[in-house]
Amino acid sequence: MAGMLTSISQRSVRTLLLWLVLACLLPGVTGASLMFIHEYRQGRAEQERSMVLTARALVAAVDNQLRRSQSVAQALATRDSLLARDFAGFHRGAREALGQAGMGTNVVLRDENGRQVLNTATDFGAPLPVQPLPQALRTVFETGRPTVSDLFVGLPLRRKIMSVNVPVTIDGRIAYVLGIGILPEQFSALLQAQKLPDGWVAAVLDAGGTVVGRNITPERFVGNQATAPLAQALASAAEGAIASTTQEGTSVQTAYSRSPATNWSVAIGIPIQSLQQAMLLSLSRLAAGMAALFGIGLLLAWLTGGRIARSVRALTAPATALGRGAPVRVPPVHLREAAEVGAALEHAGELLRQRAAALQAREAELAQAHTRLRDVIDSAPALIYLKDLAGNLLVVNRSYERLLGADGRRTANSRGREDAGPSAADLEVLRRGEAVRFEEEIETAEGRKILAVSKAPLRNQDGEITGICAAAIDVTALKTAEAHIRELVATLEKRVAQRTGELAAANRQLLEVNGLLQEANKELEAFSYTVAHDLRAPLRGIQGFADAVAEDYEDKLDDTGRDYLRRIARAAIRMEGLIDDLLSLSHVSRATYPPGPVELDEVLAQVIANLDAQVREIGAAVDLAPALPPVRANRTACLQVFQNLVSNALKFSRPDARAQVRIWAEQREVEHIGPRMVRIWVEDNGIGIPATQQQRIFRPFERLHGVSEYPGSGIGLAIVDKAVRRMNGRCGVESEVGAGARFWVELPALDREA
Amino acid sequence: MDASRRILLVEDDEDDVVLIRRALRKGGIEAPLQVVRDGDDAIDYFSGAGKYRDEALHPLPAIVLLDLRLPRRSGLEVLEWIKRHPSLALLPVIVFTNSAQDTDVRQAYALGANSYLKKPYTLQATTDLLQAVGSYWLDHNERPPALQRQP
Repeated sequence: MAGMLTSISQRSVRTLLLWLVLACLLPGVTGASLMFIHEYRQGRAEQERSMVLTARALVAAVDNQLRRSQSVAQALATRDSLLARDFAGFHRGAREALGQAGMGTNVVLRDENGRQVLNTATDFGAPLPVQPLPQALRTVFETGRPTVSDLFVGLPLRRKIMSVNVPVTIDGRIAYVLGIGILPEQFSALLQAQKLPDGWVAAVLDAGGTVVGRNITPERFVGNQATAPLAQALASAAEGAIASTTQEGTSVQTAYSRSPATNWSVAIGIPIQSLQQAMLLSLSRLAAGMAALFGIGLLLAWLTGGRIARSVRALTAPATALGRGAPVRVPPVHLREAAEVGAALEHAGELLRQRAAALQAREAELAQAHTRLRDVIDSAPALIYLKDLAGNLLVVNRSYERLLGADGRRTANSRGREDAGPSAADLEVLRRGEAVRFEEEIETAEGRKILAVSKAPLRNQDGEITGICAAAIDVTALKTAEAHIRELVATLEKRVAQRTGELAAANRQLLEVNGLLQEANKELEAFSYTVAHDLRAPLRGIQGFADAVAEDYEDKLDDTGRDYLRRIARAAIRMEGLIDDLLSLSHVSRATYPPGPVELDEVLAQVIANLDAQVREIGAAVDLAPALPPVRANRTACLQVFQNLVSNALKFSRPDARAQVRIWAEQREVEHIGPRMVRIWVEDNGIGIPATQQQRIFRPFERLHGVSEYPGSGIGLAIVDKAVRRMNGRCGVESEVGAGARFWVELPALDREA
Repeated sequence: MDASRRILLVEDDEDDVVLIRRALRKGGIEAPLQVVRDGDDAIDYFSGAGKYRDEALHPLPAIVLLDLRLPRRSGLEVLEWIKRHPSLALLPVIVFTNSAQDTDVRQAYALGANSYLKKPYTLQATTDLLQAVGSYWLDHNERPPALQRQP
C-alpha cells in the first residue's frame, strides 16, 4: 500500500474538482469563441452586402437624377423656339422650364466648335465664352446620343459642374448640343439625405472616377480622383467591397456599385476602427461571461471539494480506531458515500468485536479440550508419547512416566534410550511416512516388559511430517497367555484330529446302518404289498367257496356240517380284519405326516360321526367338551388316532352299565425345553385295564381278552402309539380294573403367532 | 348270448375265475365271458396275436375286468398299454383286484382306468357288485365307437 502511494501523485479532492470544472467549461468556451468568430464574419459579410445594396440604391438615385435631367434636356431640345433658332425665346422658355423643374442649374447650348450659343446662367445677349468641346459633347455630335459629362469647370461661372447633354437636331443635322448642368452639391445633398450612420463616408464618382458628390466635406474633396484601391476595384468589377482608405486617409471598409447606364458609381466606406470597436465590445462581454462562469464553477468546486475532504477526513479517526480494535464512533458527515463507508467501518468494528469474543471462547474451549485430551492420554493404560524430528520427547503420558520416567531415562536396552535421538523405528516411520507396528522388549521401572508399539508420523496442515506419535501397550501378560494358548491349541488340534477320525468311522457305520434300514424299509413295503394282495386271494377263496357250499349244498349237509362252514367263514373274516390292521400299522410306520394346524373340535366331531352306528348300537353317551385347543399335527393321523381310541372306549364297555365316553383337553405346563403341549383325554367307564398290562397294550398284537369276548386284532393302540410319536407327541393310559380307563394323547400346541 | 356284451376278465387265480363266473350267473348277467390268464395273454388278445388271431372268435369286449396282480406283466402295465393305443384307449377298463391301496388306486386312475373295484369277501357281496357292474356298464352305459384291435 505504502509503495503504491508513493508511486502515484496525490491530489486533493478540491484540485480534482477544479480540474473537472475546467474540463467541463473549456469545450464550452472554445465553442463559444468559434461561434463568435463565425458570427462576426457573417455580420461583416451581411454588412458588406447591405453596404453594397445601399451603394446600389444610391447609384439608382444618381441615375435617376441624371435621367430626369436628361429628360428635361430632351424636352428642351425639341422646343419649337429652339428649332426655329429663336434663341431669345428659347432662353426665356428654358429658364422658366428649369425653374418649374426645380433645377437650380442652367442650360447651355453649344455648337460644333464649342462656342456657347446660349447659356441660361447669363442673361440673353451677354457675351459667352468659347471652350474646346469636352469629350462628352463631342461624342454627342458624333453619335447623336445623349451623354453625361465628367466634372469640369464650367464657364462663365467658373465652378465645378457636370452636364447632361442631348443633341438638338435641326433640319436633320445635329446643329447644337444642349446641356443641362448638374452641380455636385446636388449629389452631396442626395447622399446627405440618406442619413447614413455617423462615420460612414459616401461618395458619388463619375465615369472617370472623379468624386462628384460626398456626404462629408464635399467642398474639400469634390473633383478629387478616387483613391487608388477604389479606382482599381472600380476598373475590375461593377460592384464589390474592399478595404481602402478615404480621401482623408482613414482606413475604411468600402462598398461600391457602378451604374451600367452611366458608369457612374457610389462608394460607401465605414471606418474599420468603428467596426473593430463593435467586435471588441461583443468580445469583451463574452470574455466577462466566461470569467464569471469559471469563477462560479471554481467556487462551487472549491466548496464541494472542501466538504468531501472533510467527510473523508472524518473517517480517518474511526478507521484508526478500527485498526486499534477500539470502539468505532463515526461522526455525522454530509457525504452519503462517506456515511456508508462509516457505517461499514462501524459494522466491521462490530464484527471484529464479535470475532474477538468468539476467538476468546474458542481459546477457552481449546484449552478445555486440551486439558481433557491430556486427561484422556494420562488415564490411558498405554504408553503414549510424541517426539520431534530430532527424536526429542515432546509429550509423555502418565503411564510412560511410571514405566520409563518423564525423560525416558529408565529405558536402557539395545535399541537405545528413547530420548537419545531418533530410533531405528522412528527412522523407518519417517522414511515410509506411515504407521509402523512392532514389538520390543525393554527394561522398565517395573521389570522387563514386552511392549506392542505403534508409531505413526505427525503431520501439519500441509501434510509435512513434523514429528512422531507413538503408543505402546504392555503385552507381557498377553504374550505369556498366548504361548500357553498356543500350547493348548496344539494339544487340541491333536485331539480334534483323533476325534474327527472317530466321528468319520461312526459316520461310516451310520451310513451303513441307514443303508440297511432303507433296504429293510423297502422289504417291508414289498411285504405289505404282498400281504395286501396275495394273502387276501386265498382268503376270499376260502370264504367264497364256503359260501358256495352253504348255498348250493345246504340240503345235503347236517347241522354240524353247516356249523363248520360258518366257522370257516368267520375265521376268514377275522383273518381279513387282521390283514387290514397289519396293513394299517405298516402304513402308519411308513407314511409321511406333514404337520399343519389341526382343529381338534372338527376332528373329534368327525370321529364321533363316523362311529355313530356303533354308538347307537350300544346306546352309549359321548360327551365332547367344547373349544378344544388347536394343535400342530396331521389331520389324517389324528382322525385315525382318535377313531381308534373312541372306538376302543365304546368297545370295552361293561355289560352291566351304560357306556359313557368323555373327551376333553388341557394345556400342559412346560416341563422341559420344547413346544407347549395339549393333552387330550378320552375317558370311558368300561372294564378298565390292570396296571400290569398298561404298558403292553400299546405293543402290536397284544390282546387282553379273547377274540370271542372282545373282537379285534390287538393292533389299534399300537397304531395310536406309532402315529402320535410320528407327530412328535406321546400317549398313555390311567386305569383301574372295573373303574374305566382314561387314555391321553399329547400333541404340540399350535403356536398361533408362528 | 349277445356277443356285443362280451366281458374280458384278466385273472390268473382259478378260484376267483370260478367264483366270478358263479356270481355272474347268480346275478343273472347275460354276457359272454372271455378269460385271459396273464398280462402277456391280455396284450395278445388286444393285438390279435398268437391264439387270438381270429377276430371272429375273439372280438373286442364291451368291458374289461382287470386284476392288478398278474404273472408276466402287471395289470397296471396292461392298462397303460391299452390306454396308450388310440384305437383302444376308449375301451372301458374296470380294475377288479384284492387291494385298494392308495398308491395302486392313484396310479390306476392316472393311467386312465374307468373304475376301480375291490373284490368283496363274501359271495353275496361279489354277486351284488357284479350285478351292479353288468347293469351299469352293459345295460346303461353307451359304448365308445370305432374301437379296433391294435396289431
